[in-house]
Amino acid sequence: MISDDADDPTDAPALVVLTELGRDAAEVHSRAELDEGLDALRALFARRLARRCRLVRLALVGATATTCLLVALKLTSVKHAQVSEPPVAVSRIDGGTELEGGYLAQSGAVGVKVIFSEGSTFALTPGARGRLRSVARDGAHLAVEHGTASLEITQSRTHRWLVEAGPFLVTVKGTVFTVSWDPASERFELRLRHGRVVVSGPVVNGGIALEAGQRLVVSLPRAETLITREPPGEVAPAPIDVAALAPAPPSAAPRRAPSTAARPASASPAKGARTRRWAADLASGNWDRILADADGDGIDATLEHADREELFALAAAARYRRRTDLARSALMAERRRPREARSLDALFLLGRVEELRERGTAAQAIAWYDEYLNQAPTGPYAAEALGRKMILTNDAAGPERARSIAREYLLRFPTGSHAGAAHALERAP
Amino acid sequence: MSGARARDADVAAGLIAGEAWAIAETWHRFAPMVLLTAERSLGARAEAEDVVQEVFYRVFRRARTLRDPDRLRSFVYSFAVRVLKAELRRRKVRGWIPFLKTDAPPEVLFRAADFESRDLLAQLYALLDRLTPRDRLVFVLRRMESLTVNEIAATMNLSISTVKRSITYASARLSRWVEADPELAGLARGEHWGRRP
Repeated sequence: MISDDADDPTDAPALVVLTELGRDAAEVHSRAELDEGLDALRALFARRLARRCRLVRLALVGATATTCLLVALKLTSVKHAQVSEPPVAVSRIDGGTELEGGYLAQSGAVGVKVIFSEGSTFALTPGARGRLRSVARDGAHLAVEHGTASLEITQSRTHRWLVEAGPFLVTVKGTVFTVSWDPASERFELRLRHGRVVVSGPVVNGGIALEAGQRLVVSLPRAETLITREPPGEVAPAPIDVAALAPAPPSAAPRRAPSTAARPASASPAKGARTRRWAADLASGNWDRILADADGDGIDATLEHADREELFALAAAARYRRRTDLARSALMAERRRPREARSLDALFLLGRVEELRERGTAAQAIAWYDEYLNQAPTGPYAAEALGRKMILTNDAAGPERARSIAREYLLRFPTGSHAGAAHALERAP
Repeated sequence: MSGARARDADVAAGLIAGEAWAIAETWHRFAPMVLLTAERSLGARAEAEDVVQEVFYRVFRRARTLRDPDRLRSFVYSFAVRVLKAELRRRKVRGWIPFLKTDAPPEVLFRAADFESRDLLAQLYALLDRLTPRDRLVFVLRRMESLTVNEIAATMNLSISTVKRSITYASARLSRWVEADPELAGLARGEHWGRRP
């Protein structure tokens, strides 16, 4: 049996005996034993088949249960989102009305307050100007163009609130804060009472997260950013321009005929997209991108075809980058558009640009301020326009000529930002 | 088709088709061979029967993987060797892990004719337990089942040289252990009468 293996080792004789004993001890099973074995094998098959069926059933039940659980969780979350997160909508406006473009017009002396359906509020202090840029189911985009606004935003997992204040953008979750923007002095201020916000825009280096009790002040002309902590509960909005109580008069007739080449912003979807992009660029401090767009498209073509919002954005970007001639051209182009409430702003801004221009003159700047004061005697920039006129007149013609303006200023804006200078002029010999 | 007259290839074909007669025929044709090998490898009849159940359960479930129906015998035997090797490994592991170790003496082929033969068999399987599962199985297949080196290599999926090394190693160790035991060494001189004529 082992002849094919010539090099098979030789076992010890005793081991040979033992292995033979082991081989012979095993006996062949009888037919009956084999039949029993076959029955046992069939039983084993049945047991294992049943076990496999149980495992498959268990897996199916588990998979079904998991699927049901996931579906239930999804439905619950959707339902929860639908039930506990009511859509954002304007519920009512106290102390004013909403004009075209979302501008809020104040009808009294206590400011205007927008109450939203899910409990949030947006209140403008007297004299402040703001607008509802957009209100959607999942949040709102608000803007403070001048003055101070108080906001109480209801906590929400899904709603997104954005507040623009000049070139700054405040991203809000649930929180209570006041935000101020003074376009004349280009000063931004935010006081946060509860919650957390993120402020993005120029100077703040891509975004600053503020926590409850913090106050952020940004001065664009001085490129200063200041964050201070205030004791809780001491955040109170300080109204500015308290004398500006009456509603603004209707816009005056245009000085020049509007250009027939000017097209409305809604005429082209691409333009609408650019408007939104420029607004975002302005808010985030990407002024160079706005200027590059305008340069790329050609300044003349841009000024010819840009809509009002784009012109204001271009003027602001050019002003921040000291391209004062371009800022002036943009504002002049805006003046050629059909008149709206905001068109009056261009008059004041032209005065500011004239002050900054190398070739500008104080007389021309004063003329723009006078024009603004004539057309918007209670407008948001009235205090600043009168104050700047007083300063320029003092510089150009001396305190004697400026004193009457100072008196008028103190009469109309006794707590205005130029009140100190006005008092000094009154006392001057 | 009658199982009694069928060739291995026909049985294999029936097995692959899942026919009941082929299952019974496979069992009756090959179970005695596998039972003997299992008994000789393990030294315990009850354990051998359990192993054979497992072997044929696997054979019937994996019948579709049989590529050459003429090699049904080798197919069954290869399953038998695999299951036996796994069983020997399991026993080895149980011996290493204290809480799995049983104090009961291993069951030995009690069909041996007399007490002395049973005692000698118990000593032989105690020595085989000291080998690795592979060396033990190679030794049993070579010395008790009388398979050739080539057959062992093919069945166990080993090289011929590995099989030869394994036999040499097992033979040398077992011979040394047997000769070191005066009682077992006396077997060679016919001092024990338990050996079957």
